[in-house]
Amino acid sequence: MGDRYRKSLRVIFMGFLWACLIGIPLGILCGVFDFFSKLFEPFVDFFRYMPAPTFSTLLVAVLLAGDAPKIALVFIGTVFQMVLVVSKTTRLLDPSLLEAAQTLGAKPRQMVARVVIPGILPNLYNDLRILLGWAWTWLVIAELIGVKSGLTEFIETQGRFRNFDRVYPIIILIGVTGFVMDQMLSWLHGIFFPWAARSGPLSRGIVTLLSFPFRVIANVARQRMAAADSLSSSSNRNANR
Amino acid sequence: MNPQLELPGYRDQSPEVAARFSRLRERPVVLEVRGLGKKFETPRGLITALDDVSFSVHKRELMCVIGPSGCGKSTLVRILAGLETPSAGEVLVHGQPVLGPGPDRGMVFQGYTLFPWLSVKENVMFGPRMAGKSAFSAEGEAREWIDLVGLSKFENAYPHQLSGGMKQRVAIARALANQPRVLFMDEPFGALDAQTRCQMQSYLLDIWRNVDITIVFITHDLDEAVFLSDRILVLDANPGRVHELVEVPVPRPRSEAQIFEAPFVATRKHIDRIMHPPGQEQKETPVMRLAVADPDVV
Repeated sequence: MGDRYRKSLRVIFMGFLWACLIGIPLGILCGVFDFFSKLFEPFVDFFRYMPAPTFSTLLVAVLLAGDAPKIALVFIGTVFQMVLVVSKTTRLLDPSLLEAAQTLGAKPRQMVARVVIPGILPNLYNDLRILLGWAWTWLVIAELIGVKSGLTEFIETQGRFRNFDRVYPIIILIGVTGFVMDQMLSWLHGIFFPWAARSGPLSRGIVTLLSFPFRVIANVARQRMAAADSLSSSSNRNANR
Repeated sequence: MNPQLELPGYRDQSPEVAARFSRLRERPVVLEVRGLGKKFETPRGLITALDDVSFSVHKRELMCVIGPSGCGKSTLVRILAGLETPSAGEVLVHGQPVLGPGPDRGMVFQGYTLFPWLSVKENVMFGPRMAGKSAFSAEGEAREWIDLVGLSKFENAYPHQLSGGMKQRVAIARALANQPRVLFMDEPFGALDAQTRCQMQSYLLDIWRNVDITIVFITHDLDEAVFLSDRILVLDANPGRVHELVEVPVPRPRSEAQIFEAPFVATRKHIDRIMHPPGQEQKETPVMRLAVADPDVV
């Protein structure tokens, strides 16, 4: 059973990872630049309405039996929603931050890298949490196509023999996995984004503890650099340049 | 205000002030605005926000722009900063036309607009970093500017941990770190409480005295305008036109005690007349009359 569980997790994470790799950059591009929004969003909207399972036969034919078509199905089910959700989150970024960056001399590329991406990260992270929940739905369908596999295969087979006492624990296992993962990710939000002011004292304390050695090293380095700078002012500066 | 008090005209300048203004006029022009106009397309038709606005700001001058709400002060400063394009006229900074936002013109917004994911120090480092300076030299510069606005203790704090006044001081330091030629401030203290606002005005004058910077300050607060500025540009509403460019006869350095002195009061009264002409006072609302009808309340 542990084997099946691991296989299911592998499919969902690979599919979600690919969706993130393609969906997030596309979503940000669509959110920032009108050009990309007009180029991609109509297509994305079109594909979004095709139910992902309709691609299943095609995927198996192209990618053959194995994990590949299953990962692809999770990917297709997630990526189109992701582009739209990420582009919407990007548009919600406070435009006055962009204006402030412009008056400080930021060029378009710098604005995307230094303002848009860090600015939307906390909301993006929460979007991904919700989308990961959706990915679990696609997992169940993905495991039924081609060669059945993972937890769903077990549910299917046992269900056919009416061994419901074996089916329910698996369903509950999926629920518990999703719930625990979401709670963990929600808690990590406070650690990743201390500035979003939502982090509790516990996560803030952990951040302080974990970053302590790095802060000590940074402080020592800073003092050394300052000392070196003041000692040999002119020659050192020229050498640095 | 004592009605018996004989107020001097706001144009009466003491010899020192007059000498100051003649020196000011000889200084080079930093910002020149020529025939600026701005029209907005709305569902109800074309609205003229600004019409033929012309003025020039000299080096190291602190000019306030004041006017009733809806007179296009914010539009004006957004055009000056390059965030909006004018429908007519042009803006010159040191003789160069303004085509878009740039680091030679700093801006402080009413809504702070600090980057919440950066600490105070990193916020101030943002401009120099965008200009391609190394992290080390940008950090050194940022420290000096943070020291200037008196926030050295908070350099590692995040914006959400600061009060409104402190946020706005960081925003000023961040704008100054780019060493702009002109600093535009769009009602920067409008969201602060009265006491903090007074403090911030004194802070701003201190900074202005110590830093080589020309400031254009947008406000709707009369006292603030008279207290801060060398000259006040008074705008009319609908459409936004220059009504008058008032030279403030209050000598520098300014202090809060001057608020009750004759030149201050005279200037204030004059601009108040422009902004709220007699005979156009708002009608009393019935709700107000009800409250007044009770003799004990009055």
